[in-house]
Amino acid sequence: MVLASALLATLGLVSPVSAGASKGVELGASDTEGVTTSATPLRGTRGVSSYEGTGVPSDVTAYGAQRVPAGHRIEGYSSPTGDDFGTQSIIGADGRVRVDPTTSFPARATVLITRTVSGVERLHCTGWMFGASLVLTAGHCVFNQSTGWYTGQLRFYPGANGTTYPYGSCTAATLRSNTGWTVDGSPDADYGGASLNCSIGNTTGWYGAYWTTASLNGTSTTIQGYPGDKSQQQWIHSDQVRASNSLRLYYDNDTVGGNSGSSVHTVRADGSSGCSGRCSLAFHAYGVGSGTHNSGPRITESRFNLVIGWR
Amino acid sequence: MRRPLRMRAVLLIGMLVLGACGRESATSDQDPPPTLTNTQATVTGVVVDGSGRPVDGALVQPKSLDSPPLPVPELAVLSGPDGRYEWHLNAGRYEFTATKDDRTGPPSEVTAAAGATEQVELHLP
Repeated sequence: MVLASALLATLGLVSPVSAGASKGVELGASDTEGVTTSATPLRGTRGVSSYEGTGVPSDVTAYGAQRVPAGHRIEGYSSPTGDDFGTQSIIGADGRVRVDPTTSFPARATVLITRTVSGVERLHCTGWMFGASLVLTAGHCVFNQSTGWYTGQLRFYPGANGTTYPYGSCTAATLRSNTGWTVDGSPDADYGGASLNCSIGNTTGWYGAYWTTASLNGTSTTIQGYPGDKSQQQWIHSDQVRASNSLRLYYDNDTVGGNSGSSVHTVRADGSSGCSGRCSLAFHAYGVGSGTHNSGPRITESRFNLVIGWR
Repeated sequence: MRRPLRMRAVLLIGMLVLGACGRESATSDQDPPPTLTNTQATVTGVVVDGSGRPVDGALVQPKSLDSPPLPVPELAVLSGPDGRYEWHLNAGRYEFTATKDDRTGPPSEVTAAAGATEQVELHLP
């Protein structure tokens, strides 16, 4: 798309500025500063910084979210001892640590996603706030090649913590993905999102994100989300990028079914180019056997511009 | 400097071809639904306990047995009140296990073909 836009500009059919991808070509250290376009050539790193939000709201309904009483039952795996079990995506010893409480950032911007089928609501995936009303996740969490969109089936609980839901829940107004996933079914393009019927991101905050053409090998990676073996609790594990290509990142963070859609993020200092704070590098999507790595679609320039356009 | 009209036409055709190859355009459930493919395999079945009764809320996990292993989506797929579960996966060889309350059953192997549905009963001790 960007190449096509550049060709349009070459043809003199559009101006150089509008030839860039949708918006957000060069964003400041804080996205609250607004989008600033730049006519300078794209190179290096571009992104948008994380925003820590305002904290726990006294009334989530002020943000359009629904209150969820403590003890609300989401069907899922229950472990009386909290012990984990061996799965293919725990690489070596299980290094996961519980996040408790979940009212600090970025735990509160990490979203438990449920899916309701035949009247039974169950843990489904993880997502991450990327704007006041936008959650990003894996493409397979919103669209299935065999059955289509999960329209009307998903509910979003930012910062869920076991049986408590400090930020309530929201539903989706629009489910989003890209044709690389919905048409081609490419694992490299397995990312999507949901525009919510609430603006809870104003209090939970949201993750940042950036793309770079430089190698990311060795960059620290953190995944926090809702693994299916932990009773709707949020768990975290850190590692680093072990391998990468232009469309995918590979890492050894310990994950389990339910972690799909988590942000694969790194922490960047204030003033870092493109993004500072909690900066997403990829959408976690896949686990594989020992001897290889877990993986997810990498945030590229065109993908960054695409998801910024969903805000 | 203005380019000749023929050169512009050639560049425009090239742009359209490259654009068609991009394949990552934004889409949503507000758009006309895409044609669903039949390239995935479906693995479904029931999780039962030692007495043969269906188990509700068991976490069903596939593991690829292919070499190299196929990436497995990290969805949480849990059995329903009737014990039933359903996975949609790329065609390949998989080992399925069910887990609940720190009990993990024996793995069951299946070869799943594109467009086909395989039935796999999973057991919990």
